[in-house]
Amino acid sequence: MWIATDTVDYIFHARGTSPLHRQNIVLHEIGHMLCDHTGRDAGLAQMFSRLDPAAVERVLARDRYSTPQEEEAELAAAFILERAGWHGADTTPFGDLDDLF
Amino acid sequence: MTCSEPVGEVGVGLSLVWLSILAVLWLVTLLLAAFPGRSPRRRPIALLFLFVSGAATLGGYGVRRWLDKATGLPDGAILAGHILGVAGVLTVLELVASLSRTTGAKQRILRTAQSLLLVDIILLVALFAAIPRQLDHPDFGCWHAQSVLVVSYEVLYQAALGTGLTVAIVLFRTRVRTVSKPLLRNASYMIISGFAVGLSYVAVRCLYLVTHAFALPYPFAGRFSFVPAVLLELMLGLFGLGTFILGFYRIGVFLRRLFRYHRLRPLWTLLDQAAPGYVLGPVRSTWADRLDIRGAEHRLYRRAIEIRDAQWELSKFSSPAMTERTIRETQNARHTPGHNAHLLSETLDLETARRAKLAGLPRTDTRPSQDSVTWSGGIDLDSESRALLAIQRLRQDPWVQETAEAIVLEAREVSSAANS
Repeated sequence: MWIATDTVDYIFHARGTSPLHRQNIVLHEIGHMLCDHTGRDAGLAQMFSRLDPAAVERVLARDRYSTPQEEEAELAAAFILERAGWHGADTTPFGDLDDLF
Repeated sequence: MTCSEPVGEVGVGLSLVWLSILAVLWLVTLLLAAFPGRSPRRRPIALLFLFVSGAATLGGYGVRRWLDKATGLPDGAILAGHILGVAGVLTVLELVASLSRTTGAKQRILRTAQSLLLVDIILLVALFAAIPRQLDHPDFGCWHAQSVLVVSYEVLYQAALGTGLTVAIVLFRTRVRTVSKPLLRNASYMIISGFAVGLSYVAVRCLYLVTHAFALPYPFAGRFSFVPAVLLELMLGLFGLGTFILGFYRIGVFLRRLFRYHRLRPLWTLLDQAAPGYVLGPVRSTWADRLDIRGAEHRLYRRAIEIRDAQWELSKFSSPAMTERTIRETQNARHTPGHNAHLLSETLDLETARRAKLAGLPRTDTRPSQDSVTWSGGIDLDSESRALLAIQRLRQDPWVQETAEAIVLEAREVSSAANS
């Protein structure tokens, strides 16, 4: 879930899933930010009692890919990871020469 | 080399070694063209191989003679080969410049070297135009060896090669140490050794030019005349073999991911039916999917995420009591298919949740099970797909099926009793 206020962006992800899945959830929300998506689910925002409702500008939650925005954010997540490399940072077989080979 | 025969035998003769080197170079070039990838550095690498393969091919005297006759330009193939060689050096410098941590003064040196090499190409063309050449007397380097124009031309070309090879050795050597896999590290050292042998070849060529121009004794004449050709072949051989190993490794990784993508189809289909709505984009037919080999990583990644999304959705149908029993059954299981208790527990939890949803059990939004049953997988695509394949295999085990059925049956009885 991504909650944007006028000063801070919050990203929340599910606990207990696999590390790659968790990473995808976070990248999905970053995808929303990069694509400048808009949306405001008041019900979701109310889940956070300490958050001032007036300060919340956008609230987007990752669920089924039911809207073009959700599809776009999911694709953005995959593209970010593709650009960064499919392997984890600590399993780079080519080291500094990774991009060359 | 000799100029005694008007046809000349300048360049590299036809041999098994030479043909093998050319075959490897062109194979790598074609593979790079066929699988361009998304990295911004892949294009210069593909260009480098194109230039090196082109220059190496034009090094063969048979090819030179054919091209000269076809174009009607005396020694035009020599100039083309040399321009391709310098273009290759320019591309190596471009690659070095694009590497991270090559900043400041080093970048300026590289840009200056690239500018000098561009001037070098212009001078080579100008000198080539000024050198007297004849179609029936191939290789002006032989026929006019003592001409100032020819010596200048040859030295300019060798200087360009020497510059590129030196820069490549100095800047790549330290980075090769960061390559973790021994096979890949050795292949990288093979490429650097190829550059070093190439530098020796350049030195021998310069020695030949000077001794030939000033009528001095040439140490690699007579019984040692094979040395330049061997150095050239060794350079290209090491370079070609090293890059072939690296390329082969990449292809192996690509194919492994493509096969895993297809192998995961049964689990993906099963979970999509159980928890629909998590597949991104249109679903293609099995055959259309199998025939497409593009984007193996991207497709495997999407398949893994879609399986995990469905797994997450289904986990909401596993009540705390069901999860507790899942863990207990796994711990007490005498028959444990596989050797990983976590994977077994996760598989049983998934199968139980899937059956619970099919049986019409209610969704539970309190999910202590997410803290109790740890999901497998890793941060990288390979470990994640490996874990999912293990889950797919474990799910088919009769023990998993029977235990999941028993857990759901008990949950249904409890639910019925509560409702009545």
